[in-house]
Amino acid sequence: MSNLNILKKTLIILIVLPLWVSSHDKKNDDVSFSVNFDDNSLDLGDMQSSTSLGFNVQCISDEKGKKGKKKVSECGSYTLSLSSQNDYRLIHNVNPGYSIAYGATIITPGSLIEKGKTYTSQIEVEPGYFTITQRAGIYADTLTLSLSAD
Amino acid sequence: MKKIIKHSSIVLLSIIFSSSVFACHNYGHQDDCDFNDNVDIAGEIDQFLALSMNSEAIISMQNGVVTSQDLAIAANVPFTISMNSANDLKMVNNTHTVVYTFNIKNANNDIVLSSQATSAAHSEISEVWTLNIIPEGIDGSTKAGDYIDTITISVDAAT
Repeated sequence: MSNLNILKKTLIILIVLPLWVSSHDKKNDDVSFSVNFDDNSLDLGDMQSSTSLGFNVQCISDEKGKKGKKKVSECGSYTLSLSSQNDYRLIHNVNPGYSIAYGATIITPGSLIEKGKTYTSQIEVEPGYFTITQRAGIYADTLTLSLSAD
Repeated sequence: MKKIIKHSSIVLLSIIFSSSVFACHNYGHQDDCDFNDNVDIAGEIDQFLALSMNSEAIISMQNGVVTSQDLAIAANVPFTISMNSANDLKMVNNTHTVVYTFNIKNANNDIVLSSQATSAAHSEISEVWTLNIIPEGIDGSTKAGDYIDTITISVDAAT
């Protein structure tokens, strides 16, 4: 193979590959996930029973289908997780030394997101038992729901 | 020249690979493909009233001596305390009984309850009280054996 032919092929690669990479990057730019609680506060009342809160998971895409090409219908799989600011403890607002442990459970809406669809589910928060060490007052914590694209 | 072309190809492949690895950064315009939402949760204890024993639920008594058991109690409201016995203040075995009485003393050693009834209302408190069980009537007619009873201590907010 002559040096000229090698140079031609190299030039083709130099032009075509960046365009191919660019087109794939653009597809990713147009896809976004979201995970949202129905409400940003949850009232546990007198903490005598468990309380539920809804949330939704969604994948939004602005990608337009191209002629002769199959549209992408799935945004991919994901993992949901919960974390707590106080390590799953409701902390007394006046005396931070007092706390009530609680449990939080995700009722999973599945693990695969289809483009444009919204998946609804719930978390359930269940306060633990009161003990002699508790005090009257307001106990609070912040829960974070995280979606990690696999 | 061939060497230059080979190096160019290697550089291009590296770009493609890097693009694939970091594609997730572009999805939701957030780092590491994580998407979060927070919820503030809160609950309020209004009336607080708690009673607990500090050790095992079974109180072992030997040879009819007085036995004491700590009762931890806390309340932010007026409350009453009461005690009931399954066998009407009698420890029983198959055919015999041993009568007993009891009292509950507060942290100042004052008796707050001394009969199977309900006490007067007490105010806000957080301290350790004492349950004392006093067997009675044990004499030469008492038979050897295991005698048992079940007692229930309750606290209720006074209305």
